[in-house]
Amino acid sequence: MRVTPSKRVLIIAGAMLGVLLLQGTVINRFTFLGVRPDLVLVVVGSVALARGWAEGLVWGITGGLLEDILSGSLPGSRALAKGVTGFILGLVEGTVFKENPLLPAVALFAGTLVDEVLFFLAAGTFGQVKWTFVTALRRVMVPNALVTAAFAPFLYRYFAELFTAVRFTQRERSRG
Amino acid sequence: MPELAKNRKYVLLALATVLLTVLMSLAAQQDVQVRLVEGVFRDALAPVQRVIITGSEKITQAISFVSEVRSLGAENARLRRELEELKDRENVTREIWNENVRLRQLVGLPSAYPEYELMGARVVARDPGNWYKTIVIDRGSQSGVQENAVVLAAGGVAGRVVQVSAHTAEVLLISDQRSAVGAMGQLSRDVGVLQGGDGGGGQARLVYLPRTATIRPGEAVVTSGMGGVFPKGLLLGRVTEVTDEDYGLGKHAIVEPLVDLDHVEEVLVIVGTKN
Repeated sequence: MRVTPSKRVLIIAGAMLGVLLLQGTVINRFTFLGVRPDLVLVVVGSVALARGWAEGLVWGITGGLLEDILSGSLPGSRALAKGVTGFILGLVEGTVFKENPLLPAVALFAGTLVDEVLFFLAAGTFGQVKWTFVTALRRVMVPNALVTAAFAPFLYRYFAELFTAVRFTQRERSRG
Repeated sequence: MPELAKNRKYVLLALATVLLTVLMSLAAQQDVQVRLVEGVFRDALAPVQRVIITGSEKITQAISFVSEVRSLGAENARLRRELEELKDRENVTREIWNENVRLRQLVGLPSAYPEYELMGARVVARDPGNWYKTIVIDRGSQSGVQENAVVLAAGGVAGRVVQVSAHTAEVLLISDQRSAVGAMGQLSRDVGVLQGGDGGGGQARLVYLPRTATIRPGEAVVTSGMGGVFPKGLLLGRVTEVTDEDYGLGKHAIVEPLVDLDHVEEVLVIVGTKN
């Protein structure tokens, strides 16, 4: 699979918009543990784990802003939470064995908790969250972390392959 | 400078945090330009969302049709029973209606509610996240929808419009944690505030009820008209549980919304009064 950087940008942006539209329409009917998986965060996390903090930050902000526009959240609140989460997950890049199948699940479980806590703080500061922290933890944060972690390995595998293929292609070119 | 280059990543993170905080601050102050950008994006995506939601509805209908065929016999028998029950109920309702008309004429009461101009709208999207309960409908300012317009669905009140673009509007459902509606018991007339997201499982909570409140499980809850957004007397839900607050200071009631807010597909928006 040969994927150029510009195509990769389109694929990631398209994937984010696609999962957001699905989350707002088709997937919205289905809940697990009372919540829907945060597939945008899975995309952000997968990119961050594969490419590092810079892309994690950029794609986190991009995905978060898209989500802010399509949801009832305060513009910037999701972007901040996802941007910082992408950054943190990106710091792990290069320090772990990426082929470990547990990595995406564990990373996205922790990442979702970080994302939700940051969102709670960001949106809460501007009066957009009425729940207490414990209520939010029980109703959204922990269930969402579990459900998102369960979905993570499938999407991560695809995105990891996307980047591995690019690197392999670049290496081939430099040798040739 | 070498220090700065070394900490480049943290500087960028801090910069992004500051910029996004400024954006949130502007949005929280209802900045016109931020709203305009949001509206343009939402309008552009609304047709795509409509196509997706229509497609998914058709698939769901096809699946449910196949499963319904299997239980057609039992369904038929049940429907016959229900038809008989409905006929009986219709008679009772007609009697109550006639009595109501007579009593109104007797005491000269004006019509209980003003007549509203209603406009049908379709739900094209829901909040993709887990924190909020909002929907997007396919009618906006060009159709006459305004902020704070009350949105009704089969059963009663669904919510109110919180943001309008040219062709779409965002509706804050009464089950959203940020929603607060002036409400009261239909029989007891106990007044409180219906807060969304407090009862769990899509339920709402009627709070600030007085200690002497006589509201009971099963009683209908209607809008009280206080607050100036929701007109008085619109159905909101039904009480499932009444609990004393700590130290006996007051009471609160868990209310099940009458509208199936998780599955509502068409709504009616109050766009004005007829007279």
